[in-house]
Order: sequence, then structure tokens, then C-alpha cells
Amino acid sequence: MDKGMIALGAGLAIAVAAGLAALAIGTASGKAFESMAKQPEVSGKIQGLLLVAIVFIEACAIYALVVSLLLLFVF
Amino acid sequence: MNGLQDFFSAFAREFIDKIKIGGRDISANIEELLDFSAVFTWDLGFVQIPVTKAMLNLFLTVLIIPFFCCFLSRRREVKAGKFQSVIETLLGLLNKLCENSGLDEEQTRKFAPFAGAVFMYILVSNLLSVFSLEAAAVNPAFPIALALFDIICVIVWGIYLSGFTGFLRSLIAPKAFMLPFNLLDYVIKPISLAFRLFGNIFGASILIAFLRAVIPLFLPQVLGLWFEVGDGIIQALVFTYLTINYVGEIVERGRKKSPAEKGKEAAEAAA
Repeated sequence: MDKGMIALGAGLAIAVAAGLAALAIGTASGKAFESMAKQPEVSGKIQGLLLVAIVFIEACAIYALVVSLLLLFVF
Repeated sequence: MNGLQDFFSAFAREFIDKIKIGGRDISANIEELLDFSAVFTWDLGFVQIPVTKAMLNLFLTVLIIPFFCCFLSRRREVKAGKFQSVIETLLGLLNKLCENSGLDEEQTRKFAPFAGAVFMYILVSNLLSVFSLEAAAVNPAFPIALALFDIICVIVWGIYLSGFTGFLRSLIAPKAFMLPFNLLDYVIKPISLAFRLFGNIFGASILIAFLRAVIPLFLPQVLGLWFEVGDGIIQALVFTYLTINYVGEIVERGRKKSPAEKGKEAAEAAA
């Protein structure tokens, strides 16, 4: 297959995934900081939940990374 | 005079060449990273084991951990010194993580050492990449095997901590029609664990290998501090955290409901 098209596809995959994941992490942490400012007494709990949420969001971007690496190195 | 000039120009050319592409092809570095073939074959007589780079890393990890633990636990005293209180704080953090996920004190005492062992195993194997030994998670076989082992351990620990009936009860929580989704969870969890570890470490290694080829002077060392050390610690932490949470989920859901809660639920169903 055409090497250039594969490279283009890999780049597009990670670009879309990284952009959307960044958007999601921004929204999540923004909301979390907002609620932390409103209720400082539960900020510890929110921090833990935020970490988990960010890990799950990041996982989606990582899947795209794995796919694009497979595209680059396997095909 | 002319000779000196020649020498300097040759030196500069060499130096620029080094900075530009590290004196080698860019793809050679990445190619070396992607080489998963056996370094040598370990002949046991009746069976031959091909030893890869990841396996060498893991052998070293298993050798390092006992020494490290002996070093950490030497000269224990009742009145904790500075060094000892740091270690005790970290262990307290681990215990608190277990208790927050739904285990009670007795179960935490049983389960926390396993979680700590998983953490140490991934952490040391990841941090060995600082000594340019290439983290084991670069080879996809390691994270996949580790995640499969981990999910089996989670199920076994769930059965051990909450009993077989408790485990069955956790499968039909919160309602019986959730059973296929709960079963599907045990397929998705190891896949997500394996891909997360592999993707993070492999992506970081590719980036560092690329930078080493393009700008070998200063950037790979500084960025390596974040991508290899920082990311290695975070991924080990995340893996442990999720393992604890999976077990905590089974125990939490498998707990027998108290009569008061049962009565409340029946009243809700009636209403």
C-alpha cells in the first residue's frame, strides 16, 4: 500500500484523538476545580475522582496512539 | 596554520553532523527499539527458551526488588527516624487507597501487600529504562501477560476476600439483568490495562529514541526525566490503583445487605 497515505492516516488518527482528549481533560478538570473552589472541604475526594477520570480519558487517546503506531510499523 | 584550519573545519563538520542526526540513520534507533527477537537462547536440555530484551529487564527487576526492600526495611525502630517515616507514610497511603475502595481493615491487611508487589514490579521495570535498558513494557507481550495475570488475581482475591457466594452476588449487582455486562467487564478490563501500559511506555520510548537520533545533546535527557521517570511512576500507580479498585468493587458489591437496607429496598419496590 501507499506509504504516504498510511502516514497521513496515522497522523490524522492521533491528531483527532489527542485534540478531543485534551478538550475532555480540560472540561473535566475545569469543572473539578470549580467545585473544589465552591466546597474546599471535599477537595481531597474530588482530586481522587479527577485522577481516575483523567486516566480513563487518557486511555482513549492511548488507544489511538497504539492504532497509529500499528499503522506505521506493521503495514 | 593551514593544517589547524583544516582540523577545525573537519571538527565542526563532524560536530554538526552529530547534532543533526546523531551520526546515524534516524530509523535505525527506532528499528533497534522494535527488535523483539531473542537476544540468545537459554538451553535447558529438554526445552529451549528464547530470551528477549524484555525478559532480561524483568530478570533484573526480580533480582533488584528483594535488595531494594531489604535496603528500605533495614534498622527498623519503634521511634521512626526521618527515612523510616517517609516509607511508613507511603505504606499508609497504600492502605488508605485500599480502604477507600471498599475493603475493610482486615481485608486491607491481607490485600495491600499484593498491590504493593504489583506496584514495585512495574515501577522498577519502568525505571530501568533510565539506565538505557529499555523498559519491558515496550515489548507488547509483557503488558498483555501482566494484565491477564492481574485480572485472574483480581478474581481469585475477590473470591478469597468475599467468598464464592459473594463473588456470584457481585456478578448480578446492581440488578440481575446486568450479568452479561459484568461478565464482559472481565474481558475489557485486561485489554484496557494492557493497552494503557503498553501505549504510554512505548510512545514515550519512541519519542525518546527519535529525539536521541535528531538532537542527541540536551533535549532527550531533560524530556526523558518526564517521559521515562514521571510517566513510569504514574503508569505503575494507575495500574495498582485500578487493580485495587477492581477488587474493592467485587468486595463492595458482594457484601451481604443488612436487613435495614433490604427492608428499604422492598419498600421502594412496593412503592
